[in-house]
Amino acid sequence: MDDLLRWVRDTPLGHFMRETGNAFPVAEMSHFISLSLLMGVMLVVDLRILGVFKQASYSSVLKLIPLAIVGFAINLISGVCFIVTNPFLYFTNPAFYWKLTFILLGGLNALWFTFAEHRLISGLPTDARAPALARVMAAASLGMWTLVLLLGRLLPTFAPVAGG
Amino acid sequence: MGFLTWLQETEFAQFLASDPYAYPVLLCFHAMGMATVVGLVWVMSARVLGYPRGLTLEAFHRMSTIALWGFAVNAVSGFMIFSTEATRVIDNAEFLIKMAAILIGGLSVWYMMRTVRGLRADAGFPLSLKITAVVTSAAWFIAIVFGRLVAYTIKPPF
Repeated sequence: MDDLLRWVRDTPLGHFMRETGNAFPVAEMSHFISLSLLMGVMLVVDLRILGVFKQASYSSVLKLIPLAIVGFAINLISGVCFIVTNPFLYFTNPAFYWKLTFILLGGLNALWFTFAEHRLISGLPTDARAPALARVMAAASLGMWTLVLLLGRLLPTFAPVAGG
Repeated sequence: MGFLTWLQETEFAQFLASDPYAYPVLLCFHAMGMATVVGLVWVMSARVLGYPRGLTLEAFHRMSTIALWGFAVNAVSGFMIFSTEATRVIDNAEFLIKMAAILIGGLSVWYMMRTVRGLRADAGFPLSLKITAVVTSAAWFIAIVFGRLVAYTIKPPF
């Protein structure tokens, strides 16, 4: 494990992140901006499935999903930038493992939705209720992305090594 | 400076600054509120700019209500965070730019909501409203960027 983390730390991206003055703050800004985009879209999509925005058609709300994918991609790239800066800081932090777990679960949930539910939900009339399973998964999605956000915010608090 | 010193020395501000849980909990609320208000404001702005078209104005109003709740959470948590470091951030340029961006972003969201409320459901959006949507989105983008910069530029406590 230590060898792997050392290798990650010594990649060109790792050197770039540590040796370029503004690289880390810029990655942080990108991470905060894209997490807001991702959470905003997930709130709208999941709350629609849960029946909050009853007046909007399902298909119109689902058209927002590409924005969430863009947000997720920027989060992933900026997140990798943090890790390569000092992988030991992250892989010694219990909150980081929990965060990865919920990202994985949230991602699997999103994949399941894309392949099993998207077409069905998109075709529902505006006044129909989404199937119970879809509603449960929408609530789970909101819960998981919220936990990802909170665990991320708490990473410095749980870091065994002093961190910012 | 009298008020800020008093604020920072209140028992409550001292508790927020020194308790091991209080400050991280405040940061959690502030991050959730940020994602809620900024994310929804961006979706609302995108709708004004024409994407996605089928999203009705009633849904737009619902979103603005939830965004306002996010804003309220952040106004309260933000003021509490401010109370722990008031004398150290009050002359911080990044903090003042963040506050200005929130003021502009808040006023332009309010204008956007008010104007949309007066429109017929199938009416197109006037150009002035679309410009407001762009200004709104940019203002909240700047608020996040400068909020992050405060962490790098704030004076150390001692």
